[in-house]
Amino acid sequence: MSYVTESKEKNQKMNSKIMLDSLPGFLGKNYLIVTLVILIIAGMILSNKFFMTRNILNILLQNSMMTIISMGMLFAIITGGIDLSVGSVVALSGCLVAGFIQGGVSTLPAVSLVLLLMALVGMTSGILVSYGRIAPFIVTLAMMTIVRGLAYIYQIGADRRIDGTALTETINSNIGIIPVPIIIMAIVVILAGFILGKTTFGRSVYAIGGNSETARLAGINVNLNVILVYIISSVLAAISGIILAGRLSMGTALVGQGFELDAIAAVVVGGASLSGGTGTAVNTLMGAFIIGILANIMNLMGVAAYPQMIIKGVIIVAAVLIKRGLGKNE
Amino acid sequence: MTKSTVLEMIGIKKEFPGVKALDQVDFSAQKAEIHALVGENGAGKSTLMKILSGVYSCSTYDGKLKLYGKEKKFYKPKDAEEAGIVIIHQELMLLDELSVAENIFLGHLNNKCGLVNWKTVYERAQNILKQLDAEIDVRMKVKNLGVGHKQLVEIAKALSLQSKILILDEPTAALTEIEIVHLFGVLKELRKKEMTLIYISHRMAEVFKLADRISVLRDGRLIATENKHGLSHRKVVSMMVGREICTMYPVTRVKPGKELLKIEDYSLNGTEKTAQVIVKNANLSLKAGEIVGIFGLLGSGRTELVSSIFGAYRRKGIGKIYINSFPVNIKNPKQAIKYGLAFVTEDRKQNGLILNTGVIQNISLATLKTVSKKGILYSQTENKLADRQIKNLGIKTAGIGVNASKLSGGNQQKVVLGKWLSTKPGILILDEPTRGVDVGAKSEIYQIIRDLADSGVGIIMVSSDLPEIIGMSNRVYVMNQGQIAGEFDKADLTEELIMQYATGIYN
Repeated sequence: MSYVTESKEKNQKMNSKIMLDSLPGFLGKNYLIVTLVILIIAGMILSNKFFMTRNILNILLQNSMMTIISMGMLFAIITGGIDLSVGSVVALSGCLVAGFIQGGVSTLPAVSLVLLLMALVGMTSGILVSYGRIAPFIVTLAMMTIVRGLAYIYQIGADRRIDGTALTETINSNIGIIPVPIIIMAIVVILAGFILGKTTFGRSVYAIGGNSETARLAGINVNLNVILVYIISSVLAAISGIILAGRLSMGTALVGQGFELDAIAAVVVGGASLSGGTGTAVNTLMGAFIIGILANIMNLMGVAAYPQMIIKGVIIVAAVLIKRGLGKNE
Repeated sequence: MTKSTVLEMIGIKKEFPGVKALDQVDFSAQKAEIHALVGENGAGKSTLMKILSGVYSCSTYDGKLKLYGKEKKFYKPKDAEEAGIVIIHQELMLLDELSVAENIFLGHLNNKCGLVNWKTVYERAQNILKQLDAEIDVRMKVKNLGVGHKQLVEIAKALSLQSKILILDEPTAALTEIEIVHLFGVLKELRKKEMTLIYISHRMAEVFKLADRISVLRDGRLIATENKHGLSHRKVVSMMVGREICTMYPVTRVKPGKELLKIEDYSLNGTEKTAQVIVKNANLSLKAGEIVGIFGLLGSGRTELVSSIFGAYRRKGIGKIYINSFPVNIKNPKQAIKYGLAFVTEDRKQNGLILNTGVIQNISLATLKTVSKKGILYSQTENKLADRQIKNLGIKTAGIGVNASKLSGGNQQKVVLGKWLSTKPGILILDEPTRGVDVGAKSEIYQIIRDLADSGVGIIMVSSDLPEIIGMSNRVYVMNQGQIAGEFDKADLTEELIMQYATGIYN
């Protein structure tokens, strides 16, 4: 009896304490949501077109591919690695899927084959990183130029057009009012969140990034998990590449330049540390959309492309500084 | 006849939170002498030397420091360096990617307007190394040198600073016999040049071969400073350990059962570079309910032996390992865990914990299979596991989600223990289980270990803490330079005996 009242009193004390000094703590934990809300409100004030359904769907569609790539990048970054090859994988997978369809392969086998081939690319990177003990930056930098080269070779000069094929039709169709790429993005984000948060594999990925020696001594197969991570990253980039090929109605080796850096930016703005061990799918999603919505607002306001690049750079640095500043209050 | 006193440290008192590291220590050293400083781990040797070399600022301790009769105040290592005091740490502080000459003159390359005259630099480096009788190419990168040569480069660095007092912390720990002989020659040469050498070592034979005087530290106090000729190995060892074993060690209630682990003729080779044997022909056995201690000083191969049993050492051992009388070949920690082994490592921050991760994730890390089904984690089962370990081990934490880095040393160690106990091990290997743990948590951890043994777990406890090893173990193996030098039952154990075998008096 007395224990119960005592704990009640304690609770009340704690509650009032939370009310008093938890604002910095609240901001520290939810600064991404707060930033997003501020951006959305700012967008509504600055442009009356911003909050229209069409614009919102537009934002989602435009950022769907980058978000999917960012999810793969997130896996790599949580292990303390990085995957610079994703932009090139986008290009090669687009070229390959278009080429296969041109060659008469039907949509589903073509897509499956491309995903499988890109999984091999990821596996190669993963093996070089884990068993080869080469820095992920170097491995994937090499893979980036190799894959880009393969894309140009496969494309043989001309773009591979796939106008009016089943793939193009599917990618450009809607389910209800929602375009298919947004649905794919949603599925990828939910799956990534589930894998990272709720599976032993996800836990191992965090453990490897947190302290790979501790993970190894606890019986986790570090090498195998690292290989899986790079396969995931490559396959997700390939999904993006296939979506892009569908939207463009062609496969071309020219796309995907610099996608890897945009994906890293999304993950970092989402609060993950490049030294590994931290980051979540939801935060990366918000990171991607903070960058995406900002770009949309600037487009609506007629800001030119080059000043936009400068602002994007400033945002990336600001995000890290804000996180560090708020982190101190925790 | 009496040599002039160069250095005096008077009434040095240094406290760390909760620990008196040094208590009224008076230490002095003379011109042209090799002065050995000996003591157990944690006796205060390195603290004293860190004070002398300015690592601890003079504002953080009480007492006076006099050089040539004049009082000196060192706020930072640079101050000590300018006064002619240089310390050579056990872990050498060289920059691997720079050349030998660059390392020697690091921080004081003489230059004109930022331009270095490399010809004179190389010449001067060559001259200094010649004094040390070392044939090393001064243009070579340091990373290509063996440990012995690296040590000479460190000494050359000290000479280039015109230092008068040179402190060497366990300089021979990683050296081969030939390198040791050469080093001793060099040190004797330096003594002839009227330098003062302070030599920290565990190895009694070396101390007596080299030193003129010996100072013994114990529990933060200076026990004696005496001329070598008035001392014997035994006397020094007994001064090092002479204290009562307190009653913090729980007594066993059970008799050892069947043999769980047997190791026969087990060896570990070092890298080609050092050509050292790390473990040589070790034989060891462990029974259920038994705590077997392994005592060894730094570099004795104790940690390497146990981590290679667990499949965690980077090189494979040669020899036979039996678990429950079955021969096994453990290639990695994952297999070791399957055989029922668990390994609490020496350095919990380095490889025991994931510091920036919650207590719960740390506890379940080695048993993810038992808190999941088909790869999907069951947070309820995981929470229960964490709650149980926190309760059973008395882990003090604000919650299961609190990052491990926020806990005290003792509680961190309990989290590591909790992780391994969750795997329900048959054989538990503990490497320095109470290092950096306060006294209260220490006795709690001892109770936990004894309870485990009484429940039938076989425990191997590596420790360099003498009272701990004597208080806890049923049996003790003493290692010296890679070999098991002796095996003793609890009844025969004394600190002197263990120390004599560990320092190689009987080798």
